[in-house]
Amino acid sequence: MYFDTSSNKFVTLGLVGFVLAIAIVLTFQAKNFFFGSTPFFPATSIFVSSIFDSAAYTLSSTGRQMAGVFSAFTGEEEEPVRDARAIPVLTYHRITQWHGSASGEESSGAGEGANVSLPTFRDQMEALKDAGWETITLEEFRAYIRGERTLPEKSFLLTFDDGAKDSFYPVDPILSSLGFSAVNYLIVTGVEREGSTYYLSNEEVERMLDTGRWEIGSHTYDSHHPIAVNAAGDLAPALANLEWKTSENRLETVAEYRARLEAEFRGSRNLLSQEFGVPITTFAFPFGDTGERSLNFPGAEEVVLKEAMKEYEFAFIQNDRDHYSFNYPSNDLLMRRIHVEPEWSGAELLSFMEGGMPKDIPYQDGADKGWIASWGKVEAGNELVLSSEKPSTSASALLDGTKLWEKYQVTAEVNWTRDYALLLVSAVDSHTYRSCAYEDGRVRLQQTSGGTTTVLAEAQDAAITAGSRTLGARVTSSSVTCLYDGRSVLQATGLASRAGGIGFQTWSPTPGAARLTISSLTVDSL
Amino acid sequence: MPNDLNTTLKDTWRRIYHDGGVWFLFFFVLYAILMLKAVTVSSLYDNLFFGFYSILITSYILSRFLLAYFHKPFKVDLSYEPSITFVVPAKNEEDNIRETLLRFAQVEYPKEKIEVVAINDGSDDNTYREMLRAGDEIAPSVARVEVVDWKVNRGKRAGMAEGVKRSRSDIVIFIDSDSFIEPDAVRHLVKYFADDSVGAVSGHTDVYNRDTNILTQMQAIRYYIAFTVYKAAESVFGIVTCCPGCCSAYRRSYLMEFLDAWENQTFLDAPCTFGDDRSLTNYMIRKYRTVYSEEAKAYTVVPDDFKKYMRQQQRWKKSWVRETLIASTFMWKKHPLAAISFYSYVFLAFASPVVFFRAMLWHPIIFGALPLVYLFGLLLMLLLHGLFYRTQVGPRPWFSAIVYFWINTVLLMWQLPWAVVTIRDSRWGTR
Repeated sequence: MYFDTSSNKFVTLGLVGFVLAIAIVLTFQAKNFFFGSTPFFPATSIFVSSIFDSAAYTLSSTGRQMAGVFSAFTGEEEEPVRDARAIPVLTYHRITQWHGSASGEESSGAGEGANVSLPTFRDQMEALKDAGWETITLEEFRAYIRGERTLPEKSFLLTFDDGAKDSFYPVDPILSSLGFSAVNYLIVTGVEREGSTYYLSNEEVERMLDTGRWEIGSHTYDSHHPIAVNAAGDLAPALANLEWKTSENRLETVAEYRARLEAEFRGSRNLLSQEFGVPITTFAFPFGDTGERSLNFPGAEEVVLKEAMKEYEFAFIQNDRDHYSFNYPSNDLLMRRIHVEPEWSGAELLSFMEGGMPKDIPYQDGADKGWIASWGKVEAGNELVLSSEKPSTSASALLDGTKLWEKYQVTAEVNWTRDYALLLVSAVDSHTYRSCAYEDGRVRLQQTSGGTTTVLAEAQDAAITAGSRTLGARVTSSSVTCLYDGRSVLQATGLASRAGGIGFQTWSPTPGAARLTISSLTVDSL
Repeated sequence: MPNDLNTTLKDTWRRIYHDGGVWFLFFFVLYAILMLKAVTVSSLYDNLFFGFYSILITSYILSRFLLAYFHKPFKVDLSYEPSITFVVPAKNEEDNIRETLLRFAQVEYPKEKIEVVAINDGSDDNTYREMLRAGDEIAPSVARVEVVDWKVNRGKRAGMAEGVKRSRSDIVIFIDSDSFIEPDAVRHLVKYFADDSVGAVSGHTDVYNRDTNILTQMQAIRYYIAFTVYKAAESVFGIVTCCPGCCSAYRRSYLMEFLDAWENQTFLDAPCTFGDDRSLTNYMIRKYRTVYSEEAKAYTVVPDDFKKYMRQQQRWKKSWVRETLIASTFMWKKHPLAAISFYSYVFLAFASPVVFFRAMLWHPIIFGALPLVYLFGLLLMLLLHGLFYRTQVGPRPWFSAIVYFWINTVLLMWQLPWAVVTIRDSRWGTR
């Protein structure tokens, strides 16, 4: 044998082997520490791309940072920062990138809402930051809502749902760079899933918490998917409905439902707080469904909210078109979140946020500044146009950010085509308000509560006709006066004092015929 | 700072930086290969055949590097100087034969111990005339020159046999008519023959026309690795399975034991007209040891045309199939590690096209997924070879050659089954 037995070769080989062995062991350790049970190839892919992303983001954001430093040096006059009167909460799901780190595996149940692309998300966050918006923590949110502290205006809470890998890896470098913090709502069964390429594993959640930029909350234990609600096997949201028990061929009882909810709310909270050693005080309802649209149990919502309140300080639901988008101080459980649309550019999101900010009186509406299209067709441009679309008969819009208005006079130049034009005042939401309802020859002062309307006062007036008119209302703490073309035409007094904003409605018994155009709007203080 | 000191410092820095960098890359690729195996180990249980293949091929290749690393260097013993005969069969090599023969005059060896036998094997160009002319030029530098002229082509094997028969020396050194040896090659070839158990020594052959095109660059890598890693690994056990005709030495007395059998070798009832060197080595291996001498350097001209290259490779595959089958009958008697290496290699060579087919065609069709792991693993292996080459030979355009190597490996592995199918077809024989 021509085998070289010189010791230095063995030593070298030994050293090389040793170093390689260490490197391999360390690689496995590192992968487990950072990624937990995530399979190796997705973990490597995330690792490699997050290096590139961080580097790319740092490079491209230096421009922004330079500008920031420069403006700090030139000592631009800063406006005094006001206190916030309401706080918005934004919610996202996944932020998708070109390589899609969650390839293959789907979330448990239907994908909730659309995913936003990374460039869009970045644009949105940077637009907010540049306009002076800053994130807050859950504790700051809680203390503010419960009236224990103030927060600067333009504070917002940033949340992500589902605990997907795509809600953390693409996002964190941006948060870090902008100095933002966020909350991730985890589905317990997702976190516990071994070898998931979609959900963050336990270790990854630990790493996420370690950054100091993230908090977590519960997004259910295992109810992020629909359940069967009848013998036919039709599916519907799990928390909102009684479950059809196929093995026993019956619907679950209310007591069983209550127990299931309790297990969900308490179970998820306990598990998460034990696993990660942090208090879990907030909950995010999947699909924003609290049971108000239950298919087989009308009392579902009440039970759901009662059980949720036992465990959580706040429960988040998705914003809808019937309510103001920001959250005002209160003792309520339910808080609204704005679901950020993937089509919105940074400027559009900013515009939406500004539209939702509480508005001051006096107010002049020149362009679209936060009209909520509650139902029907609402076009907000230079003019606000409400019209009904077949087969419906009405349209309604609410002015966002006006929830706190108390004493004001609103004047609107309108052109109403058909049948009824309503000016809403003291609106708590789009189903609870007082209104001046104008029709040919008559005006009525109404109070609508949860959709049910009572007439407070009524007056016949031949001068009231459709066409180009000036409608108005004067609102005090105890009265509402309806105005028409500059004169008072109807008044109701002795009303309970209530803050609320303004809006418009139009309806006509003929489907698709109602139309109301508001060309200018002025609100003065009294 | 004086100019040359400045240059030396810069050169040293560049060497540490570049070479160190390349060595780091080499070990990083090794780390990546091992990680890839470790990570995919669970999937190996899914399919035992392919799992076994995967582990075996990685172990085999890494073991080649390991063995080559431990190949014992052998010092030249100036007191041992057997007589040598250069045997050069040639057909239609008027361009190169002169240079080949002239190099013999520059050999560092006592000239009275050098013979040259050149055989013109039925050339229809000026090969014979070139042989005579070169022969006259080198005559003063060697003991004897004999030029044999055959009007009709008889084949390389006949030419080599003729050279052996006419030789009067202890050692016969076969040199191809387009190969050029270094002056110190002879001493490095003969040094092993001091040991009676040694029957043949293979020299180290590099590609002469390396820079012609990417095909030759890639062949340069293949040759380098084939000799420095694979032959060295075989040589640790003294079982180099092919001492190539471009530059190898054989002990004449042992050759005579089987020269006739070799010359008249038939396979499947047909005379063997190719793979002469591999066949000769096979005869020698039965009883004696065959070794590799990495300091015995020679250069050979390789095909720079793709079609010629593929034909040459196909030829080599056929001789490989034949001789490997023959060697399989007695290799088990040798050192266990050598035998395991040999039979493993046979298995791997035949299994590779199957694995390739499954990875590249069957798997994607059935599962709709690209065979990324397979391709990446293949690339890593070739990268390892290329990086090793780069660490040994210094800055050369190696990366593009690697990519080409990758393409080639994929093409060439199909030549093996084709070689088996066409084993009896001797149309693509040598000269």
